[in-house]
Amino acid sequence: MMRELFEFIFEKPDLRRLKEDIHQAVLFRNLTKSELARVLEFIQLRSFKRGDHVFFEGDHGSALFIILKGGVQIVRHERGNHVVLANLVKGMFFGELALVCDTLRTATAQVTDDAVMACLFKHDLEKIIKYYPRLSTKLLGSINQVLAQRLTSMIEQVGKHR
Amino acid sequence: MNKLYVFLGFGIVLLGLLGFLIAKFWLVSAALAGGFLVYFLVDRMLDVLKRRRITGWPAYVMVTLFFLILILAFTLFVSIPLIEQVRSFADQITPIFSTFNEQLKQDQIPLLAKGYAALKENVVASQKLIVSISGSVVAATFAILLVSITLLASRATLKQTMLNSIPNDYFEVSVGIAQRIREHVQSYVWARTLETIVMIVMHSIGFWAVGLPSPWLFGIVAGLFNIIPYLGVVFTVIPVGLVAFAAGGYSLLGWSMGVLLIGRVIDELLLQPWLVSKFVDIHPFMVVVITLIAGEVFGAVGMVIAIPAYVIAKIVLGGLYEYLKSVQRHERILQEEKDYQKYHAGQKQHQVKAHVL
Repeated sequence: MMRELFEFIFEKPDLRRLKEDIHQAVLFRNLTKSELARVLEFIQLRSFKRGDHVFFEGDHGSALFIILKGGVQIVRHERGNHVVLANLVKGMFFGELALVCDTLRTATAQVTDDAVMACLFKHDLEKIIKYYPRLSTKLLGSINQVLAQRLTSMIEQVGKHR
Repeated sequence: MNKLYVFLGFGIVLLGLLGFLIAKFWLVSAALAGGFLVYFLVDRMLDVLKRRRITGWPAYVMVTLFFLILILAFTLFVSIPLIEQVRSFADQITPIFSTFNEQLKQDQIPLLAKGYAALKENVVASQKLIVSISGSVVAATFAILLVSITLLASRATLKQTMLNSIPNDYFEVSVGIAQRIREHVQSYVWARTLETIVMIVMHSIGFWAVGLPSPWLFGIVAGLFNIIPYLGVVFTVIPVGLVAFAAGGYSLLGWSMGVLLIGRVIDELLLQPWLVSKFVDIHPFMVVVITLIAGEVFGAVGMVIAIPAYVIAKIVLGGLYEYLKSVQRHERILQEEKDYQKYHAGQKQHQVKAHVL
C-alpha cells in the first residue's frame, strides 16, 4: 500500500501511463496492481522504428511482445510472395508460441508505425512460474485463453475458405 | 566469399589473440575469470533468495554475511591448518624422502631410486614456488573481489547498456542466445564448484581418518585435480601414494588408495551423473591434448582450469555460431523483401491473402 502510494506520488507521468497501458493489455487485465508490479520486474521495454523487424521467420523464438504503441505486421514469405497474416495494433500481443513450446518462428514481424513494446522472455516467464506460482497461473490462463480464441478463429477462417 | 566463413575466420583470429593475451597477462586473466566465477555464484544465490521472496538489500546483506562466515570458517578451520600442514610437509620432505629411499633400497628397486632423486630436486624447487605463489594469491584474491563487486554493483546498468547496444533486428535472437549461454555457463560453474567442494571435503575426511599426513592439503589436491577428466586421478595418486608409502608403508598406501578409489566411485556414480554429465561431452583424446597444452603454457593451474575453460568456450562459440547463422538468414529474408518490393514497384498495394486476427 505504502509502496503504491509512494510510486503514485513520485513516479514519472509517462512511466505511469506506460504501466497503465501494460495493464490494459489482454494478457495482464486479470492481474492486480501488486501482481502487475511483480511482472514488470521481468518485462523489458523496447522502442522500434518503422521498418524494423521484431523477429524473422526461422528464428529461435524466445519472447512474447505486447504492443504498447504503434503497429506491427506479421508477414510470411512463400516462394517470393509476401503474405500478410495479420496487422496488429496497440494492446495486442504476438510471439506467444515461443513461451509455450520450443519452436522456430513461422513468420516475420515487421514494425509498420514507430512502436514501443513490452517484451516478456521465456526465461523470465520461467522465473515468474518458479517464484510466483499463483501469479503465473493467472498469466498462463490468459495466454491459453488467447491461444484458444486464435485457434477458434483460424478454424472458422479455414471453414470459410473451403 | 560466404560471410559466415569470414566471420568464423575473424572469430578464430580473435580467439588466438585472446589466448595470447591470457598467456601474457595470466594474473589479470585469472583475476577476471575468478571475478566472473564469484559473480556467477552470487548471482545464483540471489536467485535462490529471490525464490524465497528475499530481494533487494536484505538479499545482499545475507549473501555478504554468508561469504564472511565462509571466509572466517575457511581461515579458522582450513587455511590455518593448511598452512601448518604445508609448512610441516615442507619440513618433512627431506626425512620422508630419506625413509622412502631406504624403503626402496630395502626393496632393491634401483630404477625407482633414480626416479626418486629427480623427484626430490623438483619438490625442493617447488617449495620456493609455494612461497612466491602465496604472495600472488593474496593479490589475486583482492583483484577477484574487486572484479566481482564491480560486476555485482553494475548488474542492472550493465545489462541495460548491453541490451541498448543490440540493434532491433537482432534483439530477440541475441537476448535468447545470450541467455542460453549464461544459463549453461552458470550451471556448469555451479555444478563444478559444488562437485569440487564435495570432493575436497570427502577426501580430506578420508585421509584424516586413515592417518595420512597433511590431510587437508591432499584433500585439496585430490578435489582440484578431479576437475581434469582421466588424467586428474594420475596427478593425485602419485603425490598421495609417495607420501603414504613414505609415512606408513604399504598399509597406509593401501588405505589412501582405498580413499581415492571410494572418492572416484562416488564422483563417477553419484556426483558427475547428477551435476555435470550434460556438459561434459569431450573426446578423451581432446582431454589429454588440451590438458597437456594448458599444462605446458600455464603450469599446474592451467591443467586444472583447461577443461572447464574449454567447455565454457565451446558453449560461447556454439552460441556465436547460432547468432551468425541467424544473421545470415536475416540477410536472406531482407534481400527477398527488397526483391519483392522492387518487383511490385508501381503497384499500389499487394494482395492480402489472409487476416488471421
